[in-house]
Amino acid sequence: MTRGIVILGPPRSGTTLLRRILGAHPDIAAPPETYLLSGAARFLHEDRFSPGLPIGAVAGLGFAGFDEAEVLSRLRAFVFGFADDFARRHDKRRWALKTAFDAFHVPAIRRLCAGHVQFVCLQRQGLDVIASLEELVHKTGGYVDELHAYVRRHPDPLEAFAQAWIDAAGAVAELAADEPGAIALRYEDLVREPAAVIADLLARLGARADEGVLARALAELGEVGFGDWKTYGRATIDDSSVDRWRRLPAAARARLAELCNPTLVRLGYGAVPIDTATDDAQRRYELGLMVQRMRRPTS
Amino acid sequence: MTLTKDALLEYLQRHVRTDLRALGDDAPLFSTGVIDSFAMVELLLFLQSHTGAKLGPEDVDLDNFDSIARIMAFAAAREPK
Repeated sequence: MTRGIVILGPPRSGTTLLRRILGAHPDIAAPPETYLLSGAARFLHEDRFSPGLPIGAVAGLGFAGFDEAEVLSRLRAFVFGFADDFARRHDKRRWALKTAFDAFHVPAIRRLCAGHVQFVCLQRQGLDVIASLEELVHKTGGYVDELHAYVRRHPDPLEAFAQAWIDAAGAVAELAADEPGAIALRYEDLVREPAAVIADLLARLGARADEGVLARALAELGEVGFGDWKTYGRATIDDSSVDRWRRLPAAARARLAELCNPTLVRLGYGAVPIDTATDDAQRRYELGLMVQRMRRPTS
Repeated sequence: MTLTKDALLEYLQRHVRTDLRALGDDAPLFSTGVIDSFAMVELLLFLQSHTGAKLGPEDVDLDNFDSIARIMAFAAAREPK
């Protein structure tokens, strides 16, 4: 059993909810989003050009006489040290880290943490993630760096979010499949059967059973720090956010389905039907204008 | 194709994510924001495909679409005899 737990999932996949629940366990401390792991991933970033060596801190320090294992060990001690101290302050033995955009840094996080933490990999239906990302961006008023990289390449924001989800979900799924001891969860199962899913998760984490963990997690007030603002507005866990993609306009649903269906199927979600019969943009526009006229008060 | 009330409620449930069964058949939907513009456009497309009739500006009116009862009456009037 490792003292460290790392929660990974595409942003808007329930990672804050899961962190909140694990943090209510008497043995597990779960700080608000620290950006420690994505920061470490940036430290490990390397540029690679076809004819030459990787260019980055690990290679550079290698030339200075520090081998990769030592660099990773020192970086790990730096990152884990904060988590260890946080756990000690809360009188707990283990810790769980998660930050919303860690899923875009999976290879580097794996390089740093594999064998030293237990990974919990969370997935959510991709179109629901995209609809939620759209809401998040509207609230925050801009794009964090990881999302902005996709928006620069895809002028349609929904398509950008789709590509971001495909990459992040794929990386998390690969880790879940390949990393010994990694635990794969689905958001939909978590919100539909939270007690059973959490009981099973605690057992697989080697943590003691705790029937009161959900009630304590939901009773906690929000804390200052980064994370999903919506989860703290809820006193219960329910599935009201499942299938929110159905509220997307049909044309958007069809486009996103084309992009996401291969990944949805690979992850075990069904393919989203592409309703070509209603995919008539001009007719939709005409009806939209009629509906707007219907809104006008009659004089 | 005859539109049943159950089919209409199921369709609206999927697109509006509100259980309209809890509302009365005469409860206003669009004028109170229960159904927004996007969902109303989807509903109109759904009705077109069900009745086979193309809707015009004279049809798109609160009198025809602001409650379950009005939507059902409109669909019944437009269905092929």
